[in-house]
Parts: sequence; structure tokens; C-alpha cells
Amino acid sequence: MIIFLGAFIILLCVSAPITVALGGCAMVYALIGGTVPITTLVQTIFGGLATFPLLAIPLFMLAGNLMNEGGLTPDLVRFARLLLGHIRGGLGLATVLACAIFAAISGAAVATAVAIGVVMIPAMKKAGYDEGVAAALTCTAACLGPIIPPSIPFIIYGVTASVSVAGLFLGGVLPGIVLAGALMLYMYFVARKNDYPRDPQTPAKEILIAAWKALPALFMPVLIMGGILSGMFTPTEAAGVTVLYAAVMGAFYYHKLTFKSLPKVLLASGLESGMVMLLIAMSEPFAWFVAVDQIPQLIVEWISHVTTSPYMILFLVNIFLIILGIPMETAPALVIVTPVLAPIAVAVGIDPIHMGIVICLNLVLGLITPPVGAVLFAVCGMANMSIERLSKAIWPPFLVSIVVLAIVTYIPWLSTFLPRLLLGR
Amino acid sequence: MLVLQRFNEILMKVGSWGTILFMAVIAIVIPYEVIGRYVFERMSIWSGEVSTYSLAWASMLGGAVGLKKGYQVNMTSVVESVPPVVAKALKLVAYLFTLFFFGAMFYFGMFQTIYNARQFSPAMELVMSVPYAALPTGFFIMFFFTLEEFLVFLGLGAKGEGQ
Repeated sequence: MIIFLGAFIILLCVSAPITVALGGCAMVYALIGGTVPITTLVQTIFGGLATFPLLAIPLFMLAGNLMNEGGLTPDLVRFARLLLGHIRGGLGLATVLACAIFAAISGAAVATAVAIGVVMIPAMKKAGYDEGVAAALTCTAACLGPIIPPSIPFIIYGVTASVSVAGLFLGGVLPGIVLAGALMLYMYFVARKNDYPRDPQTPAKEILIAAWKALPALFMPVLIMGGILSGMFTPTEAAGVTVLYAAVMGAFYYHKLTFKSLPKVLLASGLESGMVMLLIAMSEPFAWFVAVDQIPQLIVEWISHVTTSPYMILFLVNIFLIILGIPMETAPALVIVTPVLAPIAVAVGIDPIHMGIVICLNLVLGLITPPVGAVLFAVCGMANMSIERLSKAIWPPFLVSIVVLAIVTYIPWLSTFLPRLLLGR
Repeated sequence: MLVLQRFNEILMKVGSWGTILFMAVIAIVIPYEVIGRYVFERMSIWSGEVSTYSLAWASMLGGAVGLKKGYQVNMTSVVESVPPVVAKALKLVAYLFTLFFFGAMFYFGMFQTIYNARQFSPAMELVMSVPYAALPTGFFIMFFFTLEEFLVFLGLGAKGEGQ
């Protein structure tokens, strides 16, 4: 175990790619330990790649990219703005709503930040919002991407911990709504304090027309969750149907998606998902050695000397994950901690779906914590502002998210109610 | 170095088009399966294997191309917080181990591919070497991309490219 963990930490510290650190420590362990042939390592990696439920990852990424390329996003943003723009801080509220709706189609935070931020950040700046407030709000609202279903982190957690992906998708709905509500409330008070302007009241007819135009995008979440819950298709098949739907709408309804642009969209999705898939594949031997060396059991034994309260354990898990999320991105952190934390949850009687939501929400917030935050970097580039400026501006909405994390952690009902109601889990 | 760069350009093109091809296969086969089930009331026995093996190929090729395009993540906080000389030494260790890892995985991936030449998939009876070949192919591309980056790091690349 010392060789295994030592090699992993050394490889991380020397800045080897995390995929190499994950696979490399397993290889070093196999070479020095001599108990496991390296060919087993190759077989395990292949097994990690050729897994049917994981097909949902490239497919949901492709659906998000097709939707962007197909021109569905501008109508969505316009609808959100007309609906909420007349309230104080309405542009900010519309940003959160647009992110929440986009999140119900795409499963990734960066995609959500880019798709919505590119329109909303300049609009907020133009209306007199502080640049930092606008960018930081977009960053935090983009975290809804992986919490409101579908969600790439939920798929990774579900497959790694053998927990129902459909259950996790449902479990994410209420925490996502709570996070969206909390961010809207925060924005409302900031707007009141700074006297941010509001849009003129829009006639109901115009809102209805905007809703009609945005209907193809608004229907997507219904298609995904409706299909899964009715038992018509699995989450993987839902992802496939979403791809088909986004392609057909982009090509024949919005007339923006062309045959010529398809290779670019397919390649971008392939590269994004390739990175995540390699991490998952390399984490397979890592998870295997973690299980063989009974690392979760050792941690449970150690924790049981300190506390046996699930609430205290969840508190410790949160502190650990917040710290881990600072230097690490969601996907690598998730593939490292899931094999360790999921068995601990089962051992101490925490609902695996609840644990999954807490872990994912925690690590998703890592995307907006400096110095390493993919969403932070994406929004910096888009808003043309320095990382230092955004790093300072991010703290208020980040703290709001931490409060939401605490609520989700200590009210398990939020995560377990819908899966129990609709799936009987 | 120039030969290596040219070779890597070819690998990049092959990897990119391979990723596009296998992503397209996945994007067609999964909806086809659902449509087939509900519209044509017919289930195919091959779709599961075609899509999962395409996923293996798309992931390895996409991951390899992504390595060159900066999609792969690493933790740089330690390297950034030490003096430049120590940082360079740490990076040297990272490059050497990465090259060793990709090389070893290519070798054992090849071994596994050849070993599976007599194994067949349950549904399509496809020779299992075909999906397994995704691993050595991907690691082969990753090895040469890393080698080029390593040579640049050592100052053997074009002027101004080294660290």
C-alpha cells in the first residue's frame, strides 16, 4: 500500500498527467509487488473503457456541443431574459435560469459557462453590472450543469460505485433547484444594494412567443428524464436520443447545423470525452488495488476511533473534498475518491445516492476555486478579465454555494426523495 | 526532430479522423438501437458491441489527440511553488516516467492484442484483437507526442520552444 500510494503522490507532485499518475502507480505496484501481472492492468483498463453505461459521457457532451452549434442557446437565453429581466437584478436571475435550463440538457459545467456566459456576461456589463459580479455569478451558476440532470460526474460516480445513474439523476434535481434559488436570491440582494437596473416589463404575449421559440431546447430535459423515468430508455440511450434530437433541431429547425460543421463538433466532443474516459479507464486498476488493499476498510476503522456519527463523517468528507477540489478538477478527483468514499458511505449507513450527490456537488464547486478551476479559466477568457480579479469576485457566490452544500449534506431528503418516489430506491 | 514533428503531424491527422469516425459510429448506433426497438420492433445483437468497442477506440484516440492539444490535466501547484531548477528536475522525472509508462503500456497492449487474436466477441464473433488494438494504438500516439514535447523541453526543438 505504501508503494502504491507513494508512487501516486510522487507522480502527482512532479506534475505527470493525472491519467499517468493513476495508471503509473498501479504499474509500479504490479512491477515491484509482483503479485499482479501487468497484462491484468491492460485488461482492467480495457474493461474500464468498453463499458456500455459510459457511452452516455461522449453522447451527452456531443448533445451539448450540437445544441450550441445548432443555435438553440440564443433562444433559450432570450426566453430567460424576457421572463425575469424586469425584476431587480433580472439579468443576473436570467443568467441563473438559463444556466439551469442548459444544465438540464448538457451535463458539464464548462459547456454551460461558455454557452450562457458568452451572451449574458457582455449583456450584464452593458447594463451596468460590475464585471466581477457578472463573471462570478456565471461561474457559480454554471456549476448547476453537472448537478441538474443529466450529469457527467453522476455517470462517473454511478458506474464507479455501482449506484443507479437514473437514481443519481433524480437525486440531483432538488439540490440543483436549491442552488439555483440560492444564487438568484444572492443576485437579487446584490442588485438591490448596487441599484442595478431592470429591463422594462415585457408583455405576456412576447414571453409566450419567446417560450415557443425556445421550446425545442425546453423540451430536451422532458425528453431525457421522461424517457428514463417511463422506462422507455436507459440513461445511455437517452443520451443517444438527445444527440439525434439536437442534430435534427439544429439542422432542420434552426438551420444552423451543417454537414460541414459535424466533424468539428464530433472532434471537440471526442477530445473532451477522451480526457474523461482515459481518467476513468486508468482509475479502474487504481480502484482495484484500493479494494484489494482494503483501503476503505482501513479508513473506516480509523474513522470509527474518532466518530461513528454519519453527520460527523459527512462533515469530515466535505472538508476533505473542498481541500481536494482546490488543486484538482472534478473528474480526476471523482475517480480517485469514489472507490474509497463510496464503500465508507455504505459501511456507516449513508444512502449511496445522497453520498454521490454530496461528493459531486463538492467537487463541482472545485471548478470555481482558484488556482485550478476549469470554469474560472473559461470565464476569464470569455470575459477578458484577469484570473486574480475573478478569484476575488468569486468568493461571495462561492460561499452561497457552500451554504447550499451544507443544506444538501444535512438534509438527505433533498437527494433521496425523488429517487424513492419515482424509482422506489 | 523535424522527422518526429512530421511523423506526429500524421499521427495527429489519423488520431483526429479516427476520433471523428468512432464518435460518429456511437452517435448513430445508440439512437438506431432505440428507434429499432420502438419503430421497427427489432433488436439488434451487434449494437452493444459496436458501440462499446467504438467507445474504446474513440476514447484512446481522443485521449491521445487531447494530450497534444492540452486536454489532459496535471497538478502543477507543487512544481510552480519550488525554485526553477527543482521544478525542471521534477518535470524531467515526470517526462521520463510518462514515456516509460506509455512505452510499457504500448508493449503490454500489443501483447494483449496478439493474445486475443484467437478470442471472439460473444455477439458478433469479432476477433477481440480489433477492440484491444485501441490500447496500443492510443499509447503509441501518446508516446510520440510526449517524446516531441520532451525534446522541446530539453531544448532540442525549434528555437524558443524549450523551457
